[in-house]
Amino acid sequence: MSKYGMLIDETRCTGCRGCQVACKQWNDLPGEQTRNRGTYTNPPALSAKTWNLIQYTEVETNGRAGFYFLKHACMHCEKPACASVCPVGALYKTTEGPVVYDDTKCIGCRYCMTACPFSIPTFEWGKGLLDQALIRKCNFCIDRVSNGLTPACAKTCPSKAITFGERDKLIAQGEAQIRKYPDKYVNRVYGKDEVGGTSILYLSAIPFDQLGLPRVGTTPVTALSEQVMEYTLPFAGAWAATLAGLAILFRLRNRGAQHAADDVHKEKSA
Amino acid sequence: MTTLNATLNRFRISPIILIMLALMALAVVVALVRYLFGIGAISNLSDAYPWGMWISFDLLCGVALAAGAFTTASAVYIFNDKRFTPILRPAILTGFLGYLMVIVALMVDLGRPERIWHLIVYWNPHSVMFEVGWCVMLYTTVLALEFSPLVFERFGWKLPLNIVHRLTMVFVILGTLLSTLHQSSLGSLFLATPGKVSPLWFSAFLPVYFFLTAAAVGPAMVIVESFISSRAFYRGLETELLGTFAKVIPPVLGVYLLLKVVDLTVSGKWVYAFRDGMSVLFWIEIIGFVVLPIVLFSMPKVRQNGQSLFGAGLLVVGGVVLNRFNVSLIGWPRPADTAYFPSWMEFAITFGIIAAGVVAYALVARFFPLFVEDPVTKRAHGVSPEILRRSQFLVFPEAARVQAIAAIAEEQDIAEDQVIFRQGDPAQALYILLDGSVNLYSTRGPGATNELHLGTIKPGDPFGISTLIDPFVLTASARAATACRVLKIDGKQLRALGAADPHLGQTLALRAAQAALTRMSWARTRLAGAPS
Repeated sequence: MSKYGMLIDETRCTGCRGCQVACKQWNDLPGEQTRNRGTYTNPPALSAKTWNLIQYTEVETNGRAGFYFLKHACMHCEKPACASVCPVGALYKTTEGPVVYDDTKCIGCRYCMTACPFSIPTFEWGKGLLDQALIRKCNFCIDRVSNGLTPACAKTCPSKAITFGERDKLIAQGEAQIRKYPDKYVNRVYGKDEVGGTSILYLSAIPFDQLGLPRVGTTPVTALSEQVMEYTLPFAGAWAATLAGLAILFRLRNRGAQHAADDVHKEKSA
Repeated sequence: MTTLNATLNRFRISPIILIMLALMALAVVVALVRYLFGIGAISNLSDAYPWGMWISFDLLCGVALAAGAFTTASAVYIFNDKRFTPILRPAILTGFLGYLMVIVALMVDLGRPERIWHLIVYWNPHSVMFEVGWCVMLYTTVLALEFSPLVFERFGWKLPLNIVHRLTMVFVILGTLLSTLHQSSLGSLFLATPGKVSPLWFSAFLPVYFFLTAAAVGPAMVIVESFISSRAFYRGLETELLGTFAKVIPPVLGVYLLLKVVDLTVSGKWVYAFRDGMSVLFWIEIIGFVVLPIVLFSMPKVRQNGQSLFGAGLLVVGGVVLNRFNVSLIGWPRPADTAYFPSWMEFAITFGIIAAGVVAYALVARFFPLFVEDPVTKRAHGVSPEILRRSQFLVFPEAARVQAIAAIAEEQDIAEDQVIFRQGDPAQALYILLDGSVNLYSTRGPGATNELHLGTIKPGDPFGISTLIDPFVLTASARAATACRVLKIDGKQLRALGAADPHLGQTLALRAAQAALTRMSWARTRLAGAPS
């Protein structure tokens, strides 16, 4: 189990986008030109230039319109699908908790993007061979965390919606918070068990799927594919032996048939 | 225009090849744009659609449609059925080119194609893509080795040919093993995306489904490819052989269908089959492309006719293509406000690669021993009865008569300026011109100046008709005006056929007489116009 995590109490979030900007500043990410799409969510989605995004949702509860926010970024899964499916092992889970990316290995197959249950990884679509396109996503400010600092987003949050700490303690803290204010929260810490657990944990006042977090089971999405990969080598051995056996069998059978035909022929001529 | 035509004729470049070359050139330009400005510059792929048509078609369908190589090779060598030997080389070539095409497509689709070798040095054995990568590399190598005898034979390199021959069995078992792993692993790729693949297609059996459909589409592709190449190269169609090979399709698709039905029942997913657009696609796939081919290929009538085989084979191919798109692209949950349809430049890449495959096939067919004799009977297989239809001279309403002639005919390539036969020689064979142009001339003595041009034979016309007229001595010489392709029918065997079947003999003799009359009128015109 990983060491660090972040508990995000979405009821405390004010939608100020401070974390979104802090992320860009620390990671030196450029701005994106966007247009008004009739929503506060801006830019419209995560991209290679935006690794952390506040998503705005309007939901009617008890006849009153409510404005809710989701800090959307990499969940840093305990069993990350991106790391499991990466053919060259460019993505991997660190012992500290963050799921990070070795950009010297990546071949750009984009299987991580396809497999991620939260659709987090993004790709630099506008870069050619000379610009060296890469996969981009939140790296939990691994450079800060490994030097004893908190991630840029957690550091900057003015309403203390983002708590950085040890994951186990954060889960306990989240559950205590729910027990303390049962009317305020959905009775679950999202990320405690989702896809085998994630380093990023959420508390919310409205159902998580309304907030924009997908319904995913509690098993890692790659459980089945990893199991199949484990069976592959033994299967290959058995299948090779079967094929060789079949080849020998059919050769002998044909030879037998040939002999029988020859015998019949001999009898006839005799 | 005439000069262009002449040039094309001289190098035997058909307009089709010209179109293919244009498509290839366009793809090269588009690829250049991609390498300079990124995948986003030429495609509609996005963070919401990281995989598009290139993965669904060029990779998934490309590999599946290359399955003819391993199915044919295992039929010939593992199941030791040497009857299928004549279709082995074209099947291996299709598979080999198919895999090369997949690699070329990946070099466009991969974000960092220059790092493809990372697959060899950086391993992640948990990743299905790791297995896919290794299978592509290893199986392409095996296919190259399985193809290599054509090259060694062509250049007469005996030693490597012997070595490869001795290792054939190893290559075939390795190839079948790698194909099994690769075909199934393409299905396993989507085991990692359980919430994304549409529920009608998502299953723990995806690897089995992908393998079974590949095993069914292998023979279907061999049929489709043989049919097309028989038309393109005026070659015989091994209808009987392909019909026998096609027998494997219904049981394989049957197992697939049964497994799928049980799977959907056990997992309680039939509700999804009557719900939305995906349900419609599901039924189209199952009824049109699985049930229908099972029924068609089970009918002897279908298996005995080249065109029906081709049609039913296309259904299986279409089914696999639709299936791969349904699994990998259509019906996936995507963020709101996003959509994907391939850009014209994505199509340009795909079509350019297909065109390159077609050109490569044509080149190999032209310069390498691709279509070989039947090793069992050690003689040319005769030709397809279909080819006989290209000449009025050989048309008979009765299929048996046409087949009898087809069985003793063979196709020959004749180089430009080659003399096919000489006046005064015994007439040993009747010829039908298939392609090109042949000049008939009469000789008054040695030297070109003493040649009297009698007329030009056009495709479909017979020549060497003296073969049918007693005393069977040639009354003119024939020379190929261009490179051409002819149908050669052995005179002795043809006359024997005529003797055994008097109606056939009489009809042929009558037609020969009519043709002779026409030629006489040519000669008369020539003589009237000739300076004395």
